[in-house]
Amino acid sequence: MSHAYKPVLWNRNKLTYDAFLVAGVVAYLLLYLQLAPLLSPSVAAINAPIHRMRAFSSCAFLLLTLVLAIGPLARIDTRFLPLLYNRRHFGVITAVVAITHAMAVLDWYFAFAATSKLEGLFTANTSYGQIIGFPFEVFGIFGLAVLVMMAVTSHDFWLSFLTARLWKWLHMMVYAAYASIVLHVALGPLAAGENPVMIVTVAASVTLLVTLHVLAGQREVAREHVYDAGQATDGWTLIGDLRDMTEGRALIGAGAGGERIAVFRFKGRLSALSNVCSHQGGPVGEGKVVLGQVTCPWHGYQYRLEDGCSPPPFKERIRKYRLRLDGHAIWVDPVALPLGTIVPPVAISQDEAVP
Amino acid sequence: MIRSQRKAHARIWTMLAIGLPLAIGVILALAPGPVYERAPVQLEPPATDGAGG
Repeated sequence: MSHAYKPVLWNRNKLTYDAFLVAGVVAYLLLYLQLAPLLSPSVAAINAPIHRMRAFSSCAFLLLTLVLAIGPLARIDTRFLPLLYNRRHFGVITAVVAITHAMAVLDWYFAFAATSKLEGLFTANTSYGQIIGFPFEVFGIFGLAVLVMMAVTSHDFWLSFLTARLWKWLHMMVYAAYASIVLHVALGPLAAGENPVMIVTVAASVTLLVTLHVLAGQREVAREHVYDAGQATDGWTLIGDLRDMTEGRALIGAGAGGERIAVFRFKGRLSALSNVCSHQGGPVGEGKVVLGQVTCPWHGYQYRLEDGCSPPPFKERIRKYRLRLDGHAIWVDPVALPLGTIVPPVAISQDEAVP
Repeated sequence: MIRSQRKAHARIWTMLAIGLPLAIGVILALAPGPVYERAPVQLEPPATDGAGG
């Protein structure tokens, strides 16, 4: 079996990350449970099980908002990259809190259903033909199902088993889940008009996420235009100017079909690799070269510059590209070489002498 | 990320940016006001078929 299960490789960073996460969730729940009744008479009037149920639901919604904000934040400012490193644990905790909310709902509203609790959940309200009074529970059920599916397949075993492409597509369903959960909240408590704080919170969440993604998208579009400007004379693509490069870092250009290529400068030589990490598609070209290996800034996967392979015992590989120097201009053949191809790096001192 | 995924992200967030505010706006517009602003509801006694006593 090629897809062997390996336990999570815990390290100090992951433990610290998870400790902060769990502490944050516990602190939020305690604050919500204790403070909300003191601050709002309408909250104080509701009974304890419903209050607890809302504490978990609001916590899950805020966690989901934060976890979705990490991606664009890391694109906008690299100081947020440490949050991306262990984002999957963030997602798993979000799913656990959301499950707790769902269990609390079933145990309170459907405890005495004539049928099973789940059957009662699906059959208690079937007014699908109206907006106000729509069975908003179905949106919550869909969102929860996606979160649970993501949590269950979050381990790298599933990434390897399903292939990175399919896994990524499955996990992009989180956007559908987010939309579904916003509708769940909007058609449920917002439509009931009970709590203006909730309206503000949901609106702020949607505004924040849309704004962050638009800003991150604008940066990507600006980069696309730069890459599109790379002329292809003999089929090769102009990546950039040698004088713009810094030691241990890369210039990023576009290859066939617009896929990005990273050209690294390390110890007086240049090497071209795919910019797409084989783990989760992270931007390898934004990583730093240390001891001849580049480290992907997302999850720390490493690749050798000469052949694009991870050092043993790891088996990840990314594509290599041929490159040449004309004066200070860096040209890359946009056709990717077969995985594992060894391409000797291009020495700078020799080619810089070319007029 | 590969290019197709970057494009998919752009499409998804364009749809969410338009769809979610629209959906929330429609729901809030259709939603009844707070309880104290709502008209009182007159409850009628259940109709009987004349069987008394």
